[in-house]
Amino acid sequence: MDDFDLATPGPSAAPAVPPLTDISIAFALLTYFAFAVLVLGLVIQTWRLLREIRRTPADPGSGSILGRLFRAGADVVLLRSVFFSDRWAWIFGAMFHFGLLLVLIRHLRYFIRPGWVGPLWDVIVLEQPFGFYGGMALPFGAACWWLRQTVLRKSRIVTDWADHAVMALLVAIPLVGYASTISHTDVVAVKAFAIGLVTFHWINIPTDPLLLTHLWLVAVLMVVLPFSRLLLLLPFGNLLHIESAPIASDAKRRSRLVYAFGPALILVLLAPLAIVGHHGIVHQDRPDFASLIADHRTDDPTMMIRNHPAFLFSHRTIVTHTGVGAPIDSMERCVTCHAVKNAAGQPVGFDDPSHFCRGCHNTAAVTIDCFECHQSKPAPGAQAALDSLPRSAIGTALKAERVAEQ
Amino acid sequence: MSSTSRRGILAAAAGIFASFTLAPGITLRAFAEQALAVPGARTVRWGILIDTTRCTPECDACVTACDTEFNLTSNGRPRTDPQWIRKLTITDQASGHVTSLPVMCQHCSEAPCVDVCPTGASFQRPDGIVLVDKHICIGCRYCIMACPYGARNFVSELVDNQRPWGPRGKGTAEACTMCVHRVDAGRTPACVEACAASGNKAMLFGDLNDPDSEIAKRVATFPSAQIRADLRTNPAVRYEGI
Amino acid sequence: MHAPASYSMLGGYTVRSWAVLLAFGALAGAAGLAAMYMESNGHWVTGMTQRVPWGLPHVFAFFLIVAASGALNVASIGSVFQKEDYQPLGRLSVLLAFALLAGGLFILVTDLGRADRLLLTIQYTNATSIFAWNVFIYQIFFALTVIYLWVMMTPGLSRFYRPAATAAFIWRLGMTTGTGSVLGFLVARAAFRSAIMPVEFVALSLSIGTALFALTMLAFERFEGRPLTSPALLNRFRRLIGILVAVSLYMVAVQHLTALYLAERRDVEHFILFSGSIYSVLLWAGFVLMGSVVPMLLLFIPIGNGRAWPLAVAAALVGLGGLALMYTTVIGGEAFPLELFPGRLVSSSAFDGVVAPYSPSFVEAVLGVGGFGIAGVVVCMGAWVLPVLPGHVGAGADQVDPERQPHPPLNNPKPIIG
Repeated sequence: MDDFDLATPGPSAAPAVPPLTDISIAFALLTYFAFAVLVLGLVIQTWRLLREIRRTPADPGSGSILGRLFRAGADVVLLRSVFFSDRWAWIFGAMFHFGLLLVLIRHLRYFIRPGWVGPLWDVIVLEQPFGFYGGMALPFGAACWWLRQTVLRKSRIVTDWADHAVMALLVAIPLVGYASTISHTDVVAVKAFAIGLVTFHWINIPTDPLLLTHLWLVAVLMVVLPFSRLLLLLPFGNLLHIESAPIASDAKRRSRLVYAFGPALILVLLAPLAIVGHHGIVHQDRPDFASLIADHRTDDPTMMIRNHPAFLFSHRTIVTHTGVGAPIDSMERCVTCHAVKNAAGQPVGFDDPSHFCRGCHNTAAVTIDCFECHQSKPAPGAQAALDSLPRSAIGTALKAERVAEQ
Repeated sequence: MSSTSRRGILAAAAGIFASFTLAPGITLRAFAEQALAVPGARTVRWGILIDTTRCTPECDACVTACDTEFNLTSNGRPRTDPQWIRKLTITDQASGHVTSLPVMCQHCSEAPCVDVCPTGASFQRPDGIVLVDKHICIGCRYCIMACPYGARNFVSELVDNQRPWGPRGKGTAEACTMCVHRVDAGRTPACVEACAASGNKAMLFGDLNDPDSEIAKRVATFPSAQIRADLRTNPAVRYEGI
Repeated sequence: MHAPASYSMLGGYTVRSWAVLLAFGALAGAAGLAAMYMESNGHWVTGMTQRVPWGLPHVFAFFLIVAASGALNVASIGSVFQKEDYQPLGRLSVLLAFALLAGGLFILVTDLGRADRLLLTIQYTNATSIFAWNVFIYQIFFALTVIYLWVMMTPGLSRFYRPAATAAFIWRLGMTTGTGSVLGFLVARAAFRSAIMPVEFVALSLSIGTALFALTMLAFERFEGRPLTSPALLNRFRRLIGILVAVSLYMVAVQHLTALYLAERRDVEHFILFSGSIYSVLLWAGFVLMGSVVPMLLLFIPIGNGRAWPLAVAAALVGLGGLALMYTTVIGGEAFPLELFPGRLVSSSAFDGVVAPYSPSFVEAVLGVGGFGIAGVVVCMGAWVLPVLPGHVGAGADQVDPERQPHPPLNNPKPIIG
C-alpha cells in the first residue's frame, strides 16, 4: 500500500466492491420482512378500528367537530386525556413518546442521502444532539412505565406476557443502541448498509455485535407490535369515544394470535444469529495511539473512522494545558498531511465540501467545530515541504522527526 | 433490601454518575499538571519587563508585530475589533508628565479571569502563562467583565484566516498568549522581538523565578511596578517608570 | 384553619386564550430567530462591544431572574410565614417563579457565544466561579418549584407542604444572592465590587417579584372576569408592595451614598448619578421617580376606592423602574472606563479613558423581550392544564367545584392498562 492516498474520504469511495456475506443478506431480508409486517399490520389494525368507530354511536356530549378533532389531535400529540386522568402514566408515557420522536428523527440520517432532501438535511444535522441527549428519555420512560405496570396491582393483573415482552423490547432496544454509540460503531459503514437497503444496492453489514443485536431486536419489535395490545391505548379510545370494554376482549383474541404465531416467528428471527455464530464476529481493539502518531496509515480505514476522535482528544488537553508535545501533536500537522487540493492545485478549507473531514462528516450528519478556531488549510510552506516527499516516505520522515525531538 | 445496602448502591450510582460527567475535566487537568512537575525543579514564571522611559507614543511596533503574528485583522468596526496589545498614553494631570506604554494580558498569578470562568476554560499554566482553552469556552464573556486591565477580547465575527499556531474562533474569548507557541520553542514573544528590532529596546522577556536571568536581575536592581498592584492580582508584566 | 380554598384551571380554550398564548409564543419565536441571527453572524451584529460585553439581553435576563425569586414571595408568605389569606395565591406564585426563571435563563443561554457547548458547564466546573455555582443553583430551584407545586396540588402530600415551602424560600434567597454576587464579585469594575450587591438584589427581588405577581394576578382576574382576591387582600397587597419598594429604594440609596463618600469611587458615582448620561436619567427618572416614588404614592395614598387600577399601575411602574435600574447598574458599570491608572488621564486606540459607547441594537431588544414571551407561554400553558387559579378567596364565599369547566367536559375514559 505504498501509494495509499491520505486524502481519500473513506470506505464509500473504495474502488472494489467485496462480495455479499451471508449475514448481510440475512439482515437485509430480515429488515424488509419486519418492515413489511409492521406496515401491513398497522394498516390492517387501523382499518379494523375505523370499522368499529362506524359501528359505535358518538357520545352526545362531545361537542363540535372542530373541538373533537382538536381533542383527538391533542391526545395523539400530547397524550392529553391521559394527563387529566392518570398523571404518572402521562409523565412516563410522554417521556417515552417524545424520546422516541427525537430518536427516530436522529436515525433519519442513516436512510437519507444529503442531496435527497436539500435544506431539510440541515434540520436533521441540527437535531442530532437533541436526539442523543433527549433520546435518553426513551429507555427511561419505558423502564419507568414497565416498572409501574409491574408494581401497581391494578395494572399487573391486566398485563400479560406479551405486553411484558413488548415493554422489555422497548427498554432493551435503546439501551443496546446507546451501547453501540459508546463503543463507536462505524456509522459511515452502517449508513452505507442502510442506504443500500433503501436503494436496493445491497452492501455488506458491519459485523459489530452490538449493531447486529440492535437491528435484530428492532426487527422483532416491528413484527410483534401490530399484534400487541399496547398499540390500542387510550388515545385511540378517546379519539373514537369508545369504551375500553370492546377493545379489551379483542385484545384477548389477539394475544391468542401471538401464542399461535409466536414460535414460528421466533424461529425465523433466530436464523441470523445462527449464521453469526457460524461465521464469527470481528472484534476491534482500541489501538495504541502513542505508537500510531507518526504513522497511522492503515489498511483498515474503519479503525480510524471509529477511533479518530479519541486519537485527536488524547492529545488535545495535554497540549493545550502544558504545551508539552511535539509539533506532530498539533492540528496543523493533521491538516497538512490530509490536505485536499482543488482544480487550481490549492489546498481547500473547511468551507469547501471536498475538505478531507467533510467527506465523512457530512454523510454521517455529525457536526464538528474544530475548524471554527483551527485553521483548516496548511500553512503555505508546510504543504510545499511535504509535497516534495513521496507519500510512502512521509510516515518515516515524521517518525524520525519525533525520535529526534525526544 | 437493608437501608445500608440501599445507601451503598445509591452512593455507588452517584459516584459512577459523577465520574462520568466530572471526570474528563478533573482527571485530565490533574494529569496535565503532573506532566510538568519535575521533582526538585524550580517553577518557571515567564514575565515581561517594560521600561516606559524608552517607550515613545509614536511607536507601535509591538502592536503591529502581534497583529501580524496572529493575523488580527480589523473589520472596520473598532468597537468589536480584536486588540490583544494596545498602546496607552497616560497624562498626569497634576504635573503634565506624559507616559506611553503597551498593555496586554498581564498573566496575573491571582487572575480574576481564571476565578470567574464557569467552565475553567480560562486557566493558568504552571509556568504562569494565562490562556483560554477554546475547546471548553462557552462564550459567556464573564472573563471580559472581570479583567481589570481590559486585556480579554471576544471574537464577534467569523474567522477563517487564523494562523495554524494561533487558533481563534467566533464566539470564544481570547487574549495575549505571551506567544506561548514561541516560548515553548525557546524563542521570545513577537512584541518583545519587534521592540528590540525597532531600536527602542523597551521590553525584556524572561523567567522571573530564575535569579540568573536578565529580567530577574533587573527587577531586583531597579524599581518597577505592576499596574493596579493594589488589586493584588500579581501580574507577571512589570513596568519601570510608572 | 379555614376550609381549604378550591382551585381551577383557566376556563376552556377560547379564542381569547389562544390569542394570548400565540402572542407570547410569537415574542418567544422572534427571540429565537434573533438568537440564531446573532449566533450565525457573530456578536458584531449586536451593540455589544469589547468594552461592553454584556448588553440589553443581560439586563432583561438579570431582571427576570431576580423577579423569579421574588415571585415566589407570595407563596412563601402564605406558607412559611403562615398568613393564610395569601395561601390560595400560592400555586400561581410558584408557577410564575418557574416561568420567569425559564425566561431569564433562555436569554442567557441563547446569548452565549458558543451556546452549543452548554452541557460543558456540567462536565467542567470551576469551584471559584459564582457563574458555575449559579448553573446548579438555578437547576435545583427549578426542581424545588416543581416539587413545591406538586406538593401543593396533591392532598396526600400535605405533610411535606411546610418543608417544601421552607426549602424553596431558603433556596431562592441563595439564588438571588448568587445572582447579585455575579456583579458583586467583580474586582475590575468600580461600580460593581461591593458586598451590598447581593443584598440589594435580594431587596430588589422582593419588590419587583411581588409587583410582577400582582400584575399577573390582576391580568388573570381581568381575563377570567372574576375576582381572585378579596378587597381586603388587595389593600394588604398595596401596603406590602409599597413597603418593599421603600426597602429597595433604601438599599440603592445606601449603595450610592457610601460609594460617594469613598474618594476612590467618586468618579464612577458622579458618572452614574450626575453626568446627565442615559444612565443617570434612567436611575433618577426611571428607578427613583417612576419606579419608586410614584408607586409609593399610588400605593400608600388611599385612592381608587378599593379598585384594582392603582395596584396595577403601581406594579407596572415598579417593574419598569426595576428594568431601568438594571440597565443603569449593569451597562452603566461597564461603560465607565477601567481605571488602570486612577487619577490620571488615559487614552488609547481601544476606548481607554473614555465612557464606552453603547447603543442597544434591535436584535438585542427582541431577544430580551423574548424572555417575557417564554415566561408568558409557560404561565398560560400552566394555567391551562394545572389548577393554579384560586376558586374564590374569602370566608362565606360559594365554593367553586374543583376542576369545573364552563365548557363541555373533557373526555376522561378509564385507561385500559394501569
